[in-house]
Amino acid sequence: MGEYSVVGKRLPLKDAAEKVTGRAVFTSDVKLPGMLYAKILRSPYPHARVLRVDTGEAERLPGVKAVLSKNNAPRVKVPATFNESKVFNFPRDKCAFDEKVRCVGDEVAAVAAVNKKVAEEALKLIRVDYEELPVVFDPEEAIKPSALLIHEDRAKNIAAPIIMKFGDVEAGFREADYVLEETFRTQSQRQAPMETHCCVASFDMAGNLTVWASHQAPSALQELLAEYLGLPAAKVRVIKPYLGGGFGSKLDMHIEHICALLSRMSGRPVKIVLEREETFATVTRHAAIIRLKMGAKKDGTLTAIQAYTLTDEGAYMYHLSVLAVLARGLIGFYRCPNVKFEGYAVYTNHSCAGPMRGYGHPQSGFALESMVDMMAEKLCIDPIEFRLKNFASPGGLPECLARGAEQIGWARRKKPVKASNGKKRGIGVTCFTNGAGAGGSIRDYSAAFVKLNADGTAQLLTGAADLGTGSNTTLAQIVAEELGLKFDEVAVTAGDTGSVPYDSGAFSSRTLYMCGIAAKAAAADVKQQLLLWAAERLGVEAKDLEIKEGRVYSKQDPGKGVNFSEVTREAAENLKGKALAFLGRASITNPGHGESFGAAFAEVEVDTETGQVEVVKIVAVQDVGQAINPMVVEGQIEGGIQQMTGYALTEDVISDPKTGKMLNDNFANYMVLTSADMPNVDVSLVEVAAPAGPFGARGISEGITGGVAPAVANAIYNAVGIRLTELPMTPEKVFKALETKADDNH
Amino acid sequence: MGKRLVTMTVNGETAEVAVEPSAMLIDVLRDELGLIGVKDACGRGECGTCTVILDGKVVNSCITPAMKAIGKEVWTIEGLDRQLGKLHPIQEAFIEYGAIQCGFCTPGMVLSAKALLDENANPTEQEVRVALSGNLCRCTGYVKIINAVLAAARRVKG
Amino acid sequence: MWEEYLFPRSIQEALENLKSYKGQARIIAGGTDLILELKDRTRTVKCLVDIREIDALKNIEQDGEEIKIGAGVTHSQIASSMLIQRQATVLAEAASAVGSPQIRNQGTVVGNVVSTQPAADTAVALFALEAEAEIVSGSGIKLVPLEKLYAGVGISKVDSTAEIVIGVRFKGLRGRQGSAFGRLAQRKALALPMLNVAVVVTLKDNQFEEARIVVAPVAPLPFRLKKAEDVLRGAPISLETVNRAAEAAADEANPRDSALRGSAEYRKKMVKVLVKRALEQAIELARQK
Repeated sequence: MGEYSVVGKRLPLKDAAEKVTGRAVFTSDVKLPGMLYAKILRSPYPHARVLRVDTGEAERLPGVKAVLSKNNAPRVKVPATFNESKVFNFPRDKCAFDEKVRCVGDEVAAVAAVNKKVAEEALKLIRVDYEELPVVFDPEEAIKPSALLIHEDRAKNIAAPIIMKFGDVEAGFREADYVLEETFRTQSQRQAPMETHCCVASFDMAGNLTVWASHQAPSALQELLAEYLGLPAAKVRVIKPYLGGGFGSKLDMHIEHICALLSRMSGRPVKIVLEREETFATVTRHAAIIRLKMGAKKDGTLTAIQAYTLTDEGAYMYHLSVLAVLARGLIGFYRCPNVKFEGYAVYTNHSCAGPMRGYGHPQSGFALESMVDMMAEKLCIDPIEFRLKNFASPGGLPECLARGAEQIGWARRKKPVKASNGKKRGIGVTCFTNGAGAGGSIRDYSAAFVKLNADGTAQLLTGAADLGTGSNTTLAQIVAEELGLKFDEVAVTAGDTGSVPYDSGAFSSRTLYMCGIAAKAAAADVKQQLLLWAAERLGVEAKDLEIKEGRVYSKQDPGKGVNFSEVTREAAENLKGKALAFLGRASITNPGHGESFGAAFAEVEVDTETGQVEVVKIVAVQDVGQAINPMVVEGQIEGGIQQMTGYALTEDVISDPKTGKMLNDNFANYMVLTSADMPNVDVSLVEVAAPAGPFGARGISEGITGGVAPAVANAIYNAVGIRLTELPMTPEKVFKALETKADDNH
Repeated sequence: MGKRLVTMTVNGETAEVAVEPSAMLIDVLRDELGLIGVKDACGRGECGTCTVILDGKVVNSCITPAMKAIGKEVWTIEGLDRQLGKLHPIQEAFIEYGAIQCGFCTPGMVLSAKALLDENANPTEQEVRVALSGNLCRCTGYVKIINAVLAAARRVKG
Repeated sequence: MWEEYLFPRSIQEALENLKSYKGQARIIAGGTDLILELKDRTRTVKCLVDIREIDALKNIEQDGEEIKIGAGVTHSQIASSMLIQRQATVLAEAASAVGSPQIRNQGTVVGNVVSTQPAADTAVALFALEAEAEIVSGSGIKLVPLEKLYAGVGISKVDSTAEIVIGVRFKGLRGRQGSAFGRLAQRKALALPMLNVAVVVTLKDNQFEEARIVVAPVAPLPFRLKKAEDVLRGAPISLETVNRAAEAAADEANPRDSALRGSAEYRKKMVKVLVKRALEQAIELARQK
């Protein structure tokens, strides 16, 4: 897109060498003198009163230094999530070590001991008296007025409904030539980052708390911990070391408060590292039931969209706003004069649902993009044409569709290939989108400092949390470009609330966008300071000056200039009694308009004898605005394809029908794609500048999450004529649908 | 119970370590020898994150008894650049091709790639996929990892 | 977990180690199954006796018509062995399908038999090869057909605290014999099978002289589908015969409903598909010879 020196370049990550040599220190590598090891006792029951917790014997076990339970833990209902909203009334419904457990895995006690073995032994010695209560796992059951209450201080198992409407859907359906209605079901998915949740907490003698946490929102965590512990924020410092993936599982306060409490009680540093099964159970993607109805005219114009949705929140309502994003995804994506959404977030005794990359888009995308294809077929309109006709704000989307269609060979679709052994091929298309940030409903702002060193190099201090997303590199590129410096001349400090300013956290594809706007603004601020100094020195107006390749010069008289580093050197030398520590600052709120659009194409091969679906190829073309670092952007999309191909075909949570416990809570049975399973992938970028983004960049990471599963579903339909409405599309489901179709044909 | 002193060769150097008979190799490498590049992600040999090279073959160190390494050669990620005095071509390729995001799977992934190239200097893409199929990654989708390994193969050959 | 870990240098020494612990010691080869059982505490031991240093157990050997595989031979070694690829294709294919490269480097074929998991890939193949296990104990050596070693799911008749399976042996496939392995799983690596199929066919002129068809998991041990084999014996080699045999196989096999591995109904139908495809492959191989 633009012509830049550092922005737009495929630069390797600044910390790549650290990671590839094994030197990078992650939270579980942190070791402090005298550190204790903690383990959490979790409820085996999905719903029970905790009558009595007897920790005496555990406390007496040699090597045990602190034990927590409802007997001594503070009864504080802190929002486990930073995600408090002005618009939606988020319930504060979670209290650690509560009087009641509401899902398998709910915390009942915790022990800090001299090593992991002693901690595990101590857990076995804790005696808990439970009074088991009836359970409900099905949101369609839990929503009934007669259903048992999971939170007794609420009148029903739901939060307030989300209702959005515009126009008159009844009239819209009457106007339509065709009306389609279908119910779609999407499963609970797990983030499954390779690093489990972990943290280390340590108090100093003055009562200052330092927490090393594998956490996506250090600033938010600092505030949550302060509130939970009754401390001023100035006494809480959160450090985020290298972080082994999050995908939403590490946005909320899952273990850090417990870790800090144990540290305070024992007077020693405490480390918690969750086992893989525990990490699987922390927060899940919302399973959803979406009943979607769509009306359209013969010419392809949409006249009405109506949706009724239930999301399974599980035991606590961490992120009820997923339902809102889902809603907007259904009714706000295409141009339609009459829309109505009615949705309920429902408590059940499943593990708590929460943020997972995509946050409502995978669910809404599957329903909407499947139905769009169904309608296109009904109208005998090409699926690409139909989408283009109805898309609300095209931007770069037409080019994405055109380029993707060519790359996949869209024309081949008319004659589906029938290979040997009963295998058939098909091609499907979808459109997808993501926003950048929270759309004004939650805390969403970012601050940055840029300081200049005496030698003219720069230091960016940013609240951005890099979890492998590359922000420590791309933000440096932005600052370097703004200041006319080389990439290596900009260093980045991040992930330490003691030394960097606030950022709301790594979620909603907002880090590059928001932290980038802030970094660029802070760089512009310090640039202005430098220009003022240089202006005085050169005897010109500051607005006459420009910086390029390390040189500050007059636009009118380019010969008149001084090196960037000369200016900073002079300012540092305190000559003539003048000195200036150049420090730029910025605090920005979300200007909006950071959204991104794209198109996904899938080619599948269906083995009609077994129902197995092989995804032969995924083509993804996304309008990312200015790609600050194309290699990083591609990597995000490619990773998203791995996750969402799993969502489409192989990843599912198999629950015990009696306890709701995840039976496949290990990597042997939770089927994320291996390198042998990954489809061939073709990712390319379109660059239509976002008006407010840093150098025109958009938020991009979550877009693909809404596109893959419906593209695969549409491709399966093209191949074998069956329409699957439930995820994941396992071989057994495909096989059954094929059998049913064959029977119907007889 | 009680630890005993055993000898193994780790990253090219003789190491005398105190080992519990029931310890897993990952515990000894991380806790006794400070080799934090060996990462623990599942504890059950189901994800390959803890991969090390033992006696020339990749194994999951989280389910390998430490005792199995007595008198044998163990290579962790730290050994690669320490031995060469610079980055191994596979490591360079990983950096250059953007094959690293969060970095948690990276040490195990690089070692599996190394074991492949040591045995098969000219692998096909399919052979690379199979060689890495025991190493899970949740960030990259494997695309740039596979490209990096193929590029490294070309460099090591040339 | 365990207090002692020993490396005997001979089979005799290993037996003595076991004897001295009176049932509290156990043989370990690769340990990929055993270590998980010990971590999960579904099994406890005081001592592990590692066979790694016993040279006699490290080899794949050909002895006349017989192929012998020592207890220390890993899945990787089997998968890459030219001898096995040629004379026991089904076993090489099964070994390639196990877990992951890391698991294949440590796990052993004999270990797969001793672990008595119904669908352990290489065990299924060994059943189709009509393999026998060579077992030594204080009372000497015995040769036992594999099917006699299964007492139940995960329960072996081999007492690994007192006896040692030192190897397995079977007649290599020659002449017009072909074999093939088929697997249905949720992904291409790191996945336990939904279904395994192993077949061996012997052709004579244009007929099936003999066939062995093994399917798992449809029983506590890999299951020989004798009725399907009867369909083939003496029958002409044709698509029609193969289909009939595949249908008989699906009739005879009775998988159970599994939340993790698929419903009984689906897997029963898939038996037909997998058996058919494996037979086609095995016939093709036999014809090439």
